[in-house]
Amino acid sequence: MFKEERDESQFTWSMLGDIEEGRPNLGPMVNVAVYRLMQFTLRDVLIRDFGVENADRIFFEAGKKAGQAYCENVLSENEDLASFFADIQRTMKELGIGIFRVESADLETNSFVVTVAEDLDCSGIPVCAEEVCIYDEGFIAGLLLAYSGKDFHVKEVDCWGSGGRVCRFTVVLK
Amino acid sequence: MISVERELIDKITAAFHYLRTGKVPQPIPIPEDLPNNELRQLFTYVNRFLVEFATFTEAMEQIAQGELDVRPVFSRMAVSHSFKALQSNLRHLTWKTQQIAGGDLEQQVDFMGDFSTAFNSMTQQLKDSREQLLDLNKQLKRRNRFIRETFGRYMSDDVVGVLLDMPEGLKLGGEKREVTLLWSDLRGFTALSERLDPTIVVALLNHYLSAMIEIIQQHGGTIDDIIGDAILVLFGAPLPLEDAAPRAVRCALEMQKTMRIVNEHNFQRGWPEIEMGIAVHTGEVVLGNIGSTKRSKYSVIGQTVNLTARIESFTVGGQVLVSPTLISAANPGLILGDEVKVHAKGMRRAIRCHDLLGHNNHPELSLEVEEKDCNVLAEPLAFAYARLIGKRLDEQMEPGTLVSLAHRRAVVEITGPLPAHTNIVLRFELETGEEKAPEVYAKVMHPLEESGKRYLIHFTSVPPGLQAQLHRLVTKEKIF
Repeated sequence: MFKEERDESQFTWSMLGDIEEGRPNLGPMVNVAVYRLMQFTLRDVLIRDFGVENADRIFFEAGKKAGQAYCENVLSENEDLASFFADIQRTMKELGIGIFRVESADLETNSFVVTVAEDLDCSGIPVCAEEVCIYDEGFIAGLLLAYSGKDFHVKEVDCWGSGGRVCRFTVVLK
Repeated sequence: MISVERELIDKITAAFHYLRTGKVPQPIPIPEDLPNNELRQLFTYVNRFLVEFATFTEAMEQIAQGELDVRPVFSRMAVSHSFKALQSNLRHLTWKTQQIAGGDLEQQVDFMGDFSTAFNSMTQQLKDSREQLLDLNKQLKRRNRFIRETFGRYMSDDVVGVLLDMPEGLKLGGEKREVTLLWSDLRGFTALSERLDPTIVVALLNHYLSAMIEIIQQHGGTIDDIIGDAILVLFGAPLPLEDAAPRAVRCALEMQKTMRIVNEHNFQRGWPEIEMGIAVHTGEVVLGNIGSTKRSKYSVIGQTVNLTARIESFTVGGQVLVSPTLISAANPGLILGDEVKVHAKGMRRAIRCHDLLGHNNHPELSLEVEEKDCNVLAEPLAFAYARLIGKRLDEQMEPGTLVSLAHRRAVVEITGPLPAHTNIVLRFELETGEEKAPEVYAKVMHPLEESGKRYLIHFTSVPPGLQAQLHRLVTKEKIF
């Protein structure tokens, strides 16, 4: 299931397992540093072996897959976009992913600006003059794809890595 | 050692002096001949700072003026980070407020310190207020539905509107009050309905009732009940009316006037002509929501109601009978005709009612004077008649002859005495082609001579075929 060769994605939510049963004492939470340890070592090896562009593409695609699965398994059925954003805000806070906020939403042009403060991926990392939350870009695109059935272009324009204090993403319909 | 011109140092000092005193200095011009050394590097850094500071200052001014869509500041100074966070928060709050303005009170603001607490508290209060409003609205809707169900069907929208606007609601528990009652009924309609196709009976009745209900509502009457072809109308309840009696008078006259239009409609469809009698009486009644918890209605009870019905039973088609109390309440201006003595149960003396013919202030509502002229028949027409007591026929049929005839009235000659307002059934010996002798219903108006043999009667129900046949017998000669 996990190590089969594949041409198409086989990921399902059930692959995450029964965490309650599997971690009766330690529970579902983990230190952010451990998450980042995996995230940045993986990025390091991917860049080394496949280059920055390929590594970014892989992170974006993985984030997009995660966003779709998150929308289908964590979020509720939301009748309108405002409720959908409120649901993302609430669940991301509860799960400690980050403080999701909407700065603006233009429903006529389907373009949005959203921010994630205290982001799981980058908040507090050394300034490196780079926007590093590629996984988050994919995650937001995946959320919107699952909700609306439409493909969105998501670009991080501010990041802790580039000297910002919140991660800001512009979202436009492709 | 680097030699420094004092003037250059002064420029840097001046720039910082301006910064400290609220100005935004321009970058310092660097002399072209200044060597590429630490001093040039210092000037370059100072100028970069001044440019970023100018940009930042401009952005802060715009934010201070509420322009949140200001271009992001591309600066890595710590103060710029705070600016970006402030801009981001303000834009987010704007969006949140827009959602709340759009009715989404589930919106929350997190991690913004005291502001989050205040904002979320405000949202919660708005939510509580909305729930309270919704609850109040539900209560109001329940009350309004009750009022509409109780009164809306038979009351004008204006009156229902007044009831709905009354904050204390209605006192439906019961009260005693003087009101004016109007009771109308179609004369001879029961006999008529038995002869007609049921669908025509319903269509005819509905058309008649629609016309009458519209007039009643226009005059501010509340329809208490519709029983078949009879209508009981209240004036002065549930809302008191100072001019209840004059309103009822105008309503009754207009209802009678409108019967001509109703009958034109009937004639065009081949339906029979119908006639209505109306009684109007003023008196004290008990008003209230009467019934059980499962079924109740706003209604009136009391001797006044019974007496109104009794007065109505004395009317003939086209007539409005008014009681003495109504005359007192509605005068001046009433145009009254003959006196009609109404005997009612439990009353020693007859009530001296009057035929209402019109009102001086409303000539357009005057009723036509009842036809006086009857045409003498070439040969008197024999019939047998019996008194109608309630819905029951007197068993004994008596002989009589019809001597003269008008459209709705006739002169008959009979042997026995007949009190005024007695209802009678007449059976004629005519070649109608039907097995059963045709029956005519009539009300005795009054005797025509002292001998007590000739009486004026008013037809309340004549079969259409017989009516045509009777009129063929009429000559042009008039007897009175």
